[in-house]
Amino acid sequence: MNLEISDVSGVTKAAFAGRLDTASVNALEGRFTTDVVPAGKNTIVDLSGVSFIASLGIRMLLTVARGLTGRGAGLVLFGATPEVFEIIETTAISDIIPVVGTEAEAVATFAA
Amino acid sequence: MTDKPAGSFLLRLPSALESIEAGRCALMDYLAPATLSARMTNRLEVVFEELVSNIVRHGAATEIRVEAEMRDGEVHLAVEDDGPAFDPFDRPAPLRYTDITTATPGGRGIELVRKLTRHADYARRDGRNCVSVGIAAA
Repeated sequence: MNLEISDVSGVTKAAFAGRLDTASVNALEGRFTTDVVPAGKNTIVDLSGVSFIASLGIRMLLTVARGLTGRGAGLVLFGATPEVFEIIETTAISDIIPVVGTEAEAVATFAA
Repeated sequence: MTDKPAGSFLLRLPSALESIEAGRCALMDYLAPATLSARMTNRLEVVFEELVSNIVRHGAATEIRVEAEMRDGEVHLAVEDDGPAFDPFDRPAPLRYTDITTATPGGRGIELVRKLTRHADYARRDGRNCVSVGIAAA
């Protein structure tokens, strides 16, 4: 699993690639959190390269979303495959974290 | 044409982080002849991940035993461990998220298992925790 952090139109973009399984979350959660939360910027998470997610990955996303909310910023997910989206929907995290189709839609969420 | 995997699947693994991926790969190799849909494969992998990861991270077990078989249109998966008695289903379902500021991270793994399977059961047998689930194969 790879994680790349960049800036897109003034928001932070975190792009994951690979499987967000137990081992990957263990390896990346610290870096994801420290690279994103302290900055307190609106953040979009690119899931288009994620082939698998389970409850630990969901927990990681929620933890970072809560951290950003505490700093007055938000988190939006985009690009989930149908399989990843089923897990997002089944855990109902989509009730409190926006999930959209494309990067443009994700960025536009913060412009609205 | 979809073929059934030959025989049943039995794997013993140490209760260790690396066993999750090793077990998943072995299980998927066994199920390959069944050419399951991407959706069903993912459900199976998520359920497997949740059950085995729970044991590795919380169970104080030394050994995990995984059995699988395709029958009656289902993948039957059984995961056993030699840890202290623990029924992962003996807890109420978590409350639905209502607000990001009050949402409690974690505790959703067993909810996923319940929702992605046709049935999920626990038993304590011969000093082992035994979880068995059925996942629709189509």
